Amino acid sequence: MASNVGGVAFRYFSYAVLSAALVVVLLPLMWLISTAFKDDTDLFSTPPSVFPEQFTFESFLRIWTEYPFLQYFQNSIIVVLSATIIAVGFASFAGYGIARFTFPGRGAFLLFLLMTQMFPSILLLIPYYSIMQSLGLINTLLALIVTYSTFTIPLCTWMMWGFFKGIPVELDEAASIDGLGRLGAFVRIILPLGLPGLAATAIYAFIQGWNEYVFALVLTQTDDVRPVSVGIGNLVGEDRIFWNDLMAASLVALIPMLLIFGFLQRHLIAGLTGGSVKG
Amino acid sequence: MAFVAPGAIFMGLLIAYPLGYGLYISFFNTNLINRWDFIGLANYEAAVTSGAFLRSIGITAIYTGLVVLGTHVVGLGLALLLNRQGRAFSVFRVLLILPWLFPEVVVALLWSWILNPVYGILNHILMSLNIVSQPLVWLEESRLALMGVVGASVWTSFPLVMVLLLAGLQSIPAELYEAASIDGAGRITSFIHITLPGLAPVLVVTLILQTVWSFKHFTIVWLMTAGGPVNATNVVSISIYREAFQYFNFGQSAAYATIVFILCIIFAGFYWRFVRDGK
Amino acid sequence: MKYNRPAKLVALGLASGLLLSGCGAQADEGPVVLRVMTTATVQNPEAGVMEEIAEGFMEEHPDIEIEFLGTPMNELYSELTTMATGGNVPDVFTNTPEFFAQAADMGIVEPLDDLLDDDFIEALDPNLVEQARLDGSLQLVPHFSIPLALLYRADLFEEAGLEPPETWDEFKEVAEELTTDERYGFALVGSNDGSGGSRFLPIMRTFGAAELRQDGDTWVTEFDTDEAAKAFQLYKDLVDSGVVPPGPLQTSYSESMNYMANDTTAMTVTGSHSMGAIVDQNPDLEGTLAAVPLPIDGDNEPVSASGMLGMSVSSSSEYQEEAALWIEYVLNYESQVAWNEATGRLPARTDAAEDVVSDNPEFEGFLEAQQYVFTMPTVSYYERLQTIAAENYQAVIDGQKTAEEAAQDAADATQQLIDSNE
Repeated sequence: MASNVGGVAFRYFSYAVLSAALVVVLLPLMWLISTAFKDDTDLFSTPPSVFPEQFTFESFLRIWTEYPFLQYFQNSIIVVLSATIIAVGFASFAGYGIARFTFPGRGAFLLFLLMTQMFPSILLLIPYYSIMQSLGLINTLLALIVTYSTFTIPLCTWMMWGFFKGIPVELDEAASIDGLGRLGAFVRIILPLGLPGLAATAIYAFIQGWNEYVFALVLTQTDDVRPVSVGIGNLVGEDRIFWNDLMAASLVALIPMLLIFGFLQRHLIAGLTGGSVKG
Repeated sequence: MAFVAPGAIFMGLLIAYPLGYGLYISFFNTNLINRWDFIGLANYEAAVTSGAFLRSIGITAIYTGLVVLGTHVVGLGLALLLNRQGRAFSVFRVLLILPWLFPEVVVALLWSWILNPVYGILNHILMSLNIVSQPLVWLEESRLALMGVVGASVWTSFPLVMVLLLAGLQSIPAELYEAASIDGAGRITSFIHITLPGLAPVLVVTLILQTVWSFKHFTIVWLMTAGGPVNATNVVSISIYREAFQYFNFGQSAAYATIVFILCIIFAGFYWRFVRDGK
Repeated sequence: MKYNRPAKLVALGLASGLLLSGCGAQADEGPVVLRVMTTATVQNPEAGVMEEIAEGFMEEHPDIEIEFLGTPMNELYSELTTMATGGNVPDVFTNTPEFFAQAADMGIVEPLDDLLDDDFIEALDPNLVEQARLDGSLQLVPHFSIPLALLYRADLFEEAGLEPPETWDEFKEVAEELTTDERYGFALVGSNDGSGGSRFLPIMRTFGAAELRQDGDTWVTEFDTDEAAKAFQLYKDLVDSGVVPPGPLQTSYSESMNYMANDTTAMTVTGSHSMGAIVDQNPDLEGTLAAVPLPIDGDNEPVSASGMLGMSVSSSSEYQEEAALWIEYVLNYESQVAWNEATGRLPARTDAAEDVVSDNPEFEGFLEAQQYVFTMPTVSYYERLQTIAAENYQAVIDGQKTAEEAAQDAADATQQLIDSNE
């Protein structure tokens, strides 16, 4: 398609538009980084300085020493990794089940998965609080793990369903002939083939969990269980807003996302192609 | 069935029950503690006759429309440009996804900081480029505020749309384009006759998800404007939140949420039919 | 409670699942754990001194362990309400005159008169104690007050040869004089939240209009008076005359503090704790700040709001005796003085408050304002009134309503609340 007459011009046009988009994407990130390295007076200079007058690591130091961000990170990592594993686990079984079997209520179940996306989650806060309360889980990491896995399972199931649909049934049958049971076939043959889909689903679940704010705010009450998102929100102080600390913490909070994304991004597009997009 | 059961039970307990609970309390005048007056449909009646609620639905519709439009124009445009081989394009692809990785808390706070009328960078840039002469009071004047929250929402949401659409584009067989080009079809003709139909299933998924997510969106708007100025950005999730957690009218809040739920289901119903008919 | 059974069923199902996976938490034996929900431990310097007080307490009472549940002021009411719906209210929690009627309505407050010694209560500022009573019963123990006053930069006033304003007309003139190329005259908190509303209502009272006034058995509102309209007009005039930094509707308390600390504005309306907050942020401003009571209109009586915060004991707490011990410890002389030194909030204990002011004359203006504190109407919807006021002054500033229309709309909305709560 690029061999058309206008191909070269079109290519330049593409670069121009993409570069413009890149500027819009990266400028806020630059401002975030620049702010994170500013000291307290530079922060409020008018007109604002685009780059720090003087690079300082004060804010980065402060988030570890004055605020318990180490603890927040530890909490977030435990919560989000567990929730991701649980969600992807349940979702792959359920997705495989829907893709391979017909059973009464299958259509209703699929519809239910979609419906879960329709209800304003704000109102689930209260019932969640009382469930966690009766379980004695308020202010525990487990409460967040349970909540985040629940919230991501529906769409993860939907994604995995789409993905397993794309794997030929003949493979299951071949595996059965080889003497592997249903479960064996699933674990040994189908799941490995589904890895890109799993990766995409896992990225989705991870991002959702890492970014969640409102439920974490309500379900946690002390610093030893608060996740990073709530920690960042709490930097909007009562007496002032610590913009440089806030941006430093945000920057550090991005790192795990970048790592996960960096490792799995190759699978992301492949996974999404096979997954949710084949409605 | 055995594959689906674990996920189904998990979701049944942790989604279906809270959903049912939300519906249940919408028929009460309750503070959830010591006041439980059954009042039938009075909360619903109050909702549909209250100018404030209808206005917030209207604002939500505008917000949703703009975000869906923005994410799809940007997402589709970039996906079309990115749909080709080459090292430069894969670099663009990775960098343009970045905003999706930002936690919503960070997106909201970062954009508030960028748009800060006194210390923010955007006014500084606009004024140095002589685009405006006076600092703009972003988030302060009704229309600018709506633009501000829409802008931040589009900024963080377009990458997912872009990736999904890109995946959709890549699943369109190249032979179709080759055949069309032999028939002498131009870029635009093949876009209309091959790209759009091929993309339709994905496009419908991204449209529905983005619409539903935006319609229920809370965190970014809440943290950026809390619904202000003068309710100009008072989307329906904020009404739901305020009614429950500031005014303690849990029944009324639940009725609002249920109405939103129904609106989303109606919308999803159209989508469901559309997909069925498409096949 | 009606909804508890399904919740328990779910709990049962989940719990068995959790036990299987071995994640069940184990409660440990040991001292009584007293759960204290407070707004004082979310940031420094408050957090530091509060934790020191807790350490001192635990040394004295080794059988009690204090567990703080810190929450920002703006989240306090919603978190408490959520906890109340779950039947999980902490043993001790921060409470305010704005919220206590609501808390009492939810049945989560233990009346304190019997729990505490009379001597102890008598040592507290009687004005504050009066504000802490609902129909005669003590809902919370006042911890500190932050009387509302006009905070100004005394150095800038001196430089410009200005006197602190006593009336709003003088105030407008002064604000214009102080507005220069580098600085704005006044940091107006115009946000739609508690910070904005809790400043507007006392300001409206300086014009002679009360948001709610008891008239026999009923409440009436004076939002629909000319005096109230004047207050709305004041906000509009200040913004229009350019003495307020751009973006007043987005300026909440923390933004106004950023303005003051960074020498962007010369005056603001706030409580005594702001002195510490500003100097903490910018030590160069040490000694430049002073306060006077809010300006008035004509020859009205001055007005201030107490900004009082106190501690309540949960009606469902198993450890009410321990809770009382904690409250008495937080309010002993040493704790109160330490708290003031670190945070600039005025002690609720009379002896501590007197000593603090004689040691720190810069608090004088706030103490003067303290005499003019009005008693907050004890209605469960008081917080709503702040929102009503805020929505309407925002509409006036934004030009969507005239001051008179805003006053009328606020009156209608308030009347509706009065009627539906009768």
